[in-house]
This record gives sequence, structure tokens and C-alpha cells, in this order.
Amino acid sequence: MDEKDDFDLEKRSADHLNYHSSKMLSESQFGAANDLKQSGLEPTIDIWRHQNSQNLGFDDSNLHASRSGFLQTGGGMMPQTLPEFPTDSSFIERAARFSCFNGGSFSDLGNHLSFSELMNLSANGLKPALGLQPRMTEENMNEAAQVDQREVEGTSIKETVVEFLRAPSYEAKDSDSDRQMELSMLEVGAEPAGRKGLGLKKRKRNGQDTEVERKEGAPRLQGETAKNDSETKQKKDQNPSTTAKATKHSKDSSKNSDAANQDYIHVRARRGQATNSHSLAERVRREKISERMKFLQDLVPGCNKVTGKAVMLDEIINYVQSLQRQVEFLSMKLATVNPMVDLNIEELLAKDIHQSRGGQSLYPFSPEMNMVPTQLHPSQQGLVQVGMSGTENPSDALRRTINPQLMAMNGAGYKDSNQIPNVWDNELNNALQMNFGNGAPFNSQEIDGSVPHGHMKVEL
Amino acid sequence: MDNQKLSTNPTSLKTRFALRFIRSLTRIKMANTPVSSMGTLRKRSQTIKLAADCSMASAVGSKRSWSRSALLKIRSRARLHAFAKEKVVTKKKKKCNRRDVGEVVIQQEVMGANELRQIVPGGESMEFLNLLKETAHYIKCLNTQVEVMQNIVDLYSPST
Repeated sequence: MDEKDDFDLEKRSADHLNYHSSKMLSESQFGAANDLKQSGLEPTIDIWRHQNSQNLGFDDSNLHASRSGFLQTGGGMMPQTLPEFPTDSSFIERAARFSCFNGGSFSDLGNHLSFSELMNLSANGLKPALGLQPRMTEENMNEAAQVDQREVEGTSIKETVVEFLRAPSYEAKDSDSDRQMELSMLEVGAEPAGRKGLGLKKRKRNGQDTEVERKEGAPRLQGETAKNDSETKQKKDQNPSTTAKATKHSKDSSKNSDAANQDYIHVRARRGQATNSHSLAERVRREKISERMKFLQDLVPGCNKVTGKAVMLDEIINYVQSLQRQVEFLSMKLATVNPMVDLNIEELLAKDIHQSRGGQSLYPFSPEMNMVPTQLHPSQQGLVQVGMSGTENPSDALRRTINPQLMAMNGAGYKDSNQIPNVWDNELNNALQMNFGNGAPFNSQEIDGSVPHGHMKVEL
Repeated sequence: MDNQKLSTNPTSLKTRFALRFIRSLTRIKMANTPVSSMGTLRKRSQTIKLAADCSMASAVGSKRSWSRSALLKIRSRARLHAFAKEKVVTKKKKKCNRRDVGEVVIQQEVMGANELRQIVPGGESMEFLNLLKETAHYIKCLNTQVEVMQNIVDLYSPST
């Protein structure tokens, strides 16, 4: 897929970056990325209007919780540095997306990016931090606590974390070595975690207090981010020597210690769980699956009580099928509707002429909404609201304007390229006029105050 | 009517889809003769459904894998139609086309994932995780599609 290729390219290029430079870069990018994400979240409200606000909350909270929670983890260096690296390439990806689709961003743009990170990174056996934040925070808490207390016993865990943290060029290797690197990163994260901010959290040992820790960690972390990063770097330099002998993955980790760190997902093995790289990766993957299933649960109405993947999947399938059937049914309904009712050609022609006079200056023929935002904005509003109100007047006007004969007549006078969009806009503007009466032009003018709406007013 | 209702985002998925769909609807109305028989009615409804799906997919763009595969499928079918105009596209055939797109299923983690793949366009070649992501976006787009189409139908219907 294109996204994947771009993402891989970015990661590979980031490979060659110096650790310092990438860190600095991602630090600055992180703030910007956050802003971008937040701006991208606003259109959410419109799209998901008919949905639960939970969806919106989910998207928002997913992103924000993941980012802020990540900072809040305070699990020493590890989580603090993590947001930077995911955003390193994710920021580029996001920037590319935002440039490609001019502000046509949905809520899931941000979400999508996190998911595409998930996708790309998971392919390499590493899971992005964003999607897994809540769970990982808990894990980090647990692990950091244990590492702090029992450094001897937690050696294996430490080792895995260390190596995981230090593996930058994971995408260049196959999935097995990726998992090894994942584990090594875990180790690295544990060590600095033990020495750093987690020292503050020593008093809370069990995962029960993770939320409190997170909140406490938030203000601290934001202030300490820069400091932590420098410390992380130092510790990472120290780690290669210590962990080189520790695990069988030492060779990979020592090789990677010098290269710049990429965005990777830090996963800690929970207490009492296997620290095998494969099982860790699988656990992360399972968590991702469950997270997305929850998201789908919010989408599909009436699935709150359903538990279990199989039943949930069946529900989803049924819902999608019902939606598709609904589309089919509606299209049949549209086919049966006969648009050729009495048409008032002169009236519509007059309106159309007025409309297109102003319209031609404003509408370059373009399928993209961005090119014609001002004029179409009230038009679509009219359509949407007319649809909602279901009054008779707009439907008459709309039907008349959609009349093919009318369009043919319009076509005689104007260029083909402008014909259809002009007529369409005319229809909607007529609908708008009919629906709102005298109020419509005022509304339009309030919104953009453009001159053509003055024309509409005159026509009324 | 209500000033507060005028809050539609002009670049949202809904408005992009509405724009494209209404454009194609007007073209369809222009091109068609009055509906008389059941056959043409069915054909028209299929055309309209196709227009709806196509405008939805193009409103989404190439951002999503399902939209990309849907557009690919529609365009390839359009080319086929250009050569064989007598061919009648039935519902069954559409379903088969959906399955043919994409590669062989590589992973099957959870039971029922295959069924989901058949439903979501372009799902055959996706991993389970990606499939779930695409399904979520697809459901959202379907909801938008249904909403807009319902509004248009409501516009049309009152006076019939």
C-alpha cells in the first residue's frame, strides 16, 4: 500500500539520522503533531453526528490518552522518549496526509495514522505506543516498580527491555530480529525507568495505583521531558555494555545501539508472564485486536452487551450487511422517484443565470469541495437541512431543478465544465431559498457574506 | 429555518459524498428515459446504487484500502461494460466481483473474519487487524451514505 511504502521509506531514512538529531527533531515535531491531530479531530463532530458521542470521545480519548498517558507514564526514559519517535515518522506521514487531502480530514485521520502506525509497526513485530497506551502504562508501572525493587530478579525482563529500547533499524530486519529488538527495548526502558522518574513512583508498587501515578506523572513529565531525553541517551550508551552479555539478542542490540532510535513500541512483560519475544508480540497484537473490537462495538448499535470476538464479529457482519441492503433499498427508491414534474423553466433559468454569473467567478470546475467552499457551504447546509425538515417546497424546487430538460437548456448557454456544478449549486440554493424563505440569504450572508447570496436574495 | 443548524462542514465526508452523489444522480436522470418497465427500473436502481458506492469511494479517496479496491473494481467493471453492453449485472455477480478482488486470504485469525472480508470491499488481502480498521471506517461511510440518500429520498418523496 502506498501508506506502508511511505512509512517504510520514512523509517529507513530516519534510520540514518543521528540519535540526537532525531530526538531533537521529534521533540519539536511532537508538539506540532499534537496540534495537527487536534485540528484534525474537529471535523469529527460533523461526521459522527448521528453516532454516539462515545465515538467522538473514543477517538479523542484514544489519541489524547495515548499521547498524554504516554507522557504521564513517567516510566523513566522509556515512555517519555517514546512519543517522540512514533511521531517522528508518524508526523511525516501525517503531514503527507494533510497535504494530500486538503483539510479533508476526518476524525479518524489522526486515528488512522495511529492505526497505520500500528499496521506498519506491527508488521515488523513492534507495536506503536499510541494504540496501546492505557495497557502499556500499567505494564510500565508494574515493570518499573519491579525493576526498581528487584533488579537482580528482574534481569531477564530488564534485558529484554533494554534491547528493545535500543533497536532502531528494526524495519531493516526480519520479524524475528524485530521481536528481539522489541524485547531489548523493553530492557532499556526498564533500567532508566528504575533510575528516573519512576523513582518518584516507588511508593506505588502494584498496578492498582497506575492511574494516580499517571496523573502525577503528567505535570512532572512535561517539565522533565528534555531532561529525561538527555538522560536516556546517556543510559542507552551505558546499556550496550551491560546488556551485551545478558541475552542471546545481545549482538543485535549492540549493533543497533549506535544507530538512531526509531519509533517503536515499548512493551513490558507483565509480572508472571512469559517474556518470550513472540508471546509479547502476540499479547500486544491481541490487545490491539481487542481495542479495535471495542471501537467497532461502539460503532455498531446495540452491541454493548455482546462479549467475545466471534459473536461480536457476527454482529458486525450483520450490521454491515444491513447497511448495504439499506443502500440498495434507497437506491431503488431513488430510481422509482420520477423527477420529471412540472418544471418552471423560466424561473429556474433566471435563477440559474443569476446563480452562475456569480458562480462562475467562484466555481472553478472541480470535484473537490475545497475549491468551492464558500458557495457550496450554505448549499449543502440547505440540502442537509431540507432533507431533515422534509418540507414540500424545497422538494418541488429540487425536483424541478434536477429536471433534465432544464439542464439541457442550461447547457446551451454555458460551458459544459461549469454546467453541472452550477446547476447543482443552483438546485441546492433554490432548495435553500425555498426552505428558509427570507431567512436563507441572511444565513448565507452571515456565513460567508459573499456577493452571490445577494443575488439569491434578489431573486426571492 | 434554524440558524443553529447551519454548521455543516463543507469538507466533511458527508458533504463530499453528497456533492458527488447528487452530481451523478443528475447525470443519471439526464441520461435515462422515463421508467416504464420493471427491467429498466431494476437497472436504474443498480446504476444508482453503483453511483452511490462510487461517489462514496471517491469521496473517501485513496486513503482507505477498501475505497481503493472499490474504485478499482468499479472502474474495471466499467471498462468491461464498455465492451459488453448486453451484459446484465446482477446482484449475485456483484458479490462475486467483490470476492475476486484482492489476493488469496493469507491469515485467518478469528472465525468469521473471512465472512467479514467478503463483505468489506478489498478485504480479502488484509490482515485481521487492518480488516477491523477498514471495517470501522467502512461502517462509518455506510452510515453517511445511508443518511444522505435518505435525505435525498425525503426531498423527492413528499409530493409523489
